[in-house]
Amino acid sequence: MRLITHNMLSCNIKGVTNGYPLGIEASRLETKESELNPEFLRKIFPKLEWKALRDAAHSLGLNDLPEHVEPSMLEDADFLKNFHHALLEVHLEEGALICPETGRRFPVTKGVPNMLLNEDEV
Amino acid sequence: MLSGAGISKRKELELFGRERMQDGQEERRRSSSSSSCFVKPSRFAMEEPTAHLYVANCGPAVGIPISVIRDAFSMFGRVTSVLQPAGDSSGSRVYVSYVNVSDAVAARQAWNGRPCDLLQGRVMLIQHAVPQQQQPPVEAQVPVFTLTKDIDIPGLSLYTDFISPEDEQELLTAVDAEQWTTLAKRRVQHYGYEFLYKTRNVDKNQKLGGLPLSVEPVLSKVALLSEMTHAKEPSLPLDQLTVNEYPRGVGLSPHIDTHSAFQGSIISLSLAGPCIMEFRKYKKKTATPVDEISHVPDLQEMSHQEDGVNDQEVANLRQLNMEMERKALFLPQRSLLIMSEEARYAWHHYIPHHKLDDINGQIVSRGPRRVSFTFRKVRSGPCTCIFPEQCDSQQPHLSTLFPSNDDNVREPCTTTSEDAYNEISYCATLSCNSETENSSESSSKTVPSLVKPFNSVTPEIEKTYVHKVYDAIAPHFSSTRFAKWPKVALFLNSLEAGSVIADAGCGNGKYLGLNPKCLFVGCDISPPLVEICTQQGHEALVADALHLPYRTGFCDAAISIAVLHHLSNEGRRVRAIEELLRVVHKKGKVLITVWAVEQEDKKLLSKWTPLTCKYMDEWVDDVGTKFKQNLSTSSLGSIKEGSNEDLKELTLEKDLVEQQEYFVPWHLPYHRAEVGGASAAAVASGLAKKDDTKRAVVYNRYYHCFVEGELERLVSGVPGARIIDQFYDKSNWCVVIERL
Repeated sequence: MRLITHNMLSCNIKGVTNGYPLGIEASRLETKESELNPEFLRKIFPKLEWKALRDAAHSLGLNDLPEHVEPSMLEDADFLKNFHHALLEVHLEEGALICPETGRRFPVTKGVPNMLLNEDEV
Repeated sequence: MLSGAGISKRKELELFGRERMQDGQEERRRSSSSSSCFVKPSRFAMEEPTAHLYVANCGPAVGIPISVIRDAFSMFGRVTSVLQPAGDSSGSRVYVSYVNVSDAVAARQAWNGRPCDLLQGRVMLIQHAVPQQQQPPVEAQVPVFTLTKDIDIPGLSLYTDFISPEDEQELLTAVDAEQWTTLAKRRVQHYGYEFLYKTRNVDKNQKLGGLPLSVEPVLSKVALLSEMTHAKEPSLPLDQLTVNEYPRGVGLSPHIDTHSAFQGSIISLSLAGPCIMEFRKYKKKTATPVDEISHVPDLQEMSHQEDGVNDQEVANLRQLNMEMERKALFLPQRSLLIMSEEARYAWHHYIPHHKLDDINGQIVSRGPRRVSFTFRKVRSGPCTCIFPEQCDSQQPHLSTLFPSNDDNVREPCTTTSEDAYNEISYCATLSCNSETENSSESSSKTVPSLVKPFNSVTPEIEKTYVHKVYDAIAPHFSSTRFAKWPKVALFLNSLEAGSVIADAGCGNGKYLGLNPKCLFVGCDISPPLVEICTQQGHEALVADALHLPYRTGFCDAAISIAVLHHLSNEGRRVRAIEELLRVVHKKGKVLITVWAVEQEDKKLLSKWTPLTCKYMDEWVDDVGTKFKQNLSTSSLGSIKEGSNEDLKELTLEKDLVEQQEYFVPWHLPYHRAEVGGASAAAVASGLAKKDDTKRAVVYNRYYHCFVEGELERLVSGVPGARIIDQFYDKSNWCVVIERL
């Protein structure tokens, strides 16, 4: 699971009103290089919750994303490189995602988050 | 042997029932293949004995060569021929013809329904048959040639004993020392470029390296052949090698190697064992107007099949007004086959899934394995062959799209030759009793409320007959699911670059990444299927389509392909639509496809098991059924809470209304079922049944098939949804929705 996916994931347990963003517990990360596509990054940028991305990156030890961003930064090669790396190249292979409201852990194994809810959660 | 009259009577009745099913099956096949040599007399007519016998449960496929059958039956008198039924790829039925009627009668009396010592104790089912006058029996079998000069396919050459046994051993030792990749049924190694089964092409930018040194002597010898030195289109230097190891009994689905992938000749060296290779060419039957080009890919689709010709294929051909020419060539051990020009570009090649090959009466056993070395040259530039109908360079949509009915018509293991058995096993297993459905008992039963409230807890029927089944069949299911449906591809390709697409119920992920300019996130409730997605490098997670774990409005588009029909009540189907809409932003698009009751191939319905009353009442609401009722009797959209009176009427008329709830079988071949694994447990718990005849574990999947207008009605009821397109295609109902 990459941070782009993390940015869209939310805990939808019945009754939970504040299930976003999920916390990350990482026990194994993997970096897989991919081609940087500035156009794609510019397109995806407005959809992202920047704070969620930055905090998530931070919790994985990726400290190169600035706290505040502006669209003009998308012209900066260094920024794009760091943005691309955090968003698309770092994979959470083993660990868990944690609901910020209930503390419910969604395990991540072999890179796959299991977001299935129990019967009493739906 | 002890056999009381009562017992033998019962046995006869059982056989009788089975035979009747086979009759039906045989007749269907006969009518479609038009090249049968015998027909059986009607079961109910007084049988006039003939000199010909139809013998079931006996033949090469069950380990009894034709010559052995002939010898055995000869003990009753002179046998003139032993033939396999036309179009029967099962290899487990034969026609035995005597000179004298009395000999045939004696053989039938002695062996029908009893173990036969001369034939490994097999119990055969024997009936008299009559020859069909119109056609000569010769057409019954695909002719097998041993010389390419006789087979008369331009561009085909065969060199026998191309290398010495010592060189063969050296080559085998060399490849066995390397790493094999395991496919569904065989193992492979790729050199030069990896052949990608998903695209059926190579990635020209990913060169693996040169070909192994061990094949150098073969390459130098090949380079001297006249096919190479006088080639119209150069094949040298050969730069791609795929080594295939076929275990005994495993074949190769019919296909033409992708034109745009390779140029020149395809050269294949057979080692370790022989086989036959069948060549098939499809041609227009008569001078009717040319079919639309979009129909042509249906033929490509066949390459995904697991076996030879089936009903669907025949139906396809008929629909296209095409016919198929079939010829086979025997490939001995250590022979070299060269396919060039027409043989390479226009003929499908196919290796039947047999352990024994019948070379014009001589039975040849395949070895414990056959290892083929296939040498090809990766193409530079587009293909400009003179066979545009098969050419993906000249018809670009052929290159990535191998349309199928998307999950639909093609149940890969239903190798149809044995479907007769199939249908019986379902009738017996599930015993859907139409009598109870009409009985006064059921109509006076307590009436369930018309629309069950949305139940967020997954019903048992879905857990048992959808989730558990996909978990158990995942790898096999996936290995049969790379055909992409053009309408889905069209939708995905129409999306803007940079779009985020949620595939809810992504299965093995065949649509993930289809549009390389977009970002796909797949989810499925089956962890084994999701694992397959991630192994392919796709982003996917385990989640329920009714509770998507995405924040609202994030996605630009969502797709739900062949998912909603697995949900067992209307509340849940509506909920799934709501979830798809929730996760896309305003103006975001959603594509939904579901199986239709209105199947293009009506015969399929007869292979499915209508749900029994028990399941209907306990697990499935039947609003769909009532909706259909309403459509025909009153105006649309006025589904009111019915009075008991109404419901009684509905129940009584139930069997007049279209059946929508089905169990659809999935055949997991024994060799794909893990020993002691999920399938053993499934059989033990009654979830699946073993079918020894088909050598498969049979699972049932639950389906709610949609009637015309039903999907539209569900979508219209969801706030914020606007239907922008709806269509029926390939037995699916489909809608494209925009979120308002």
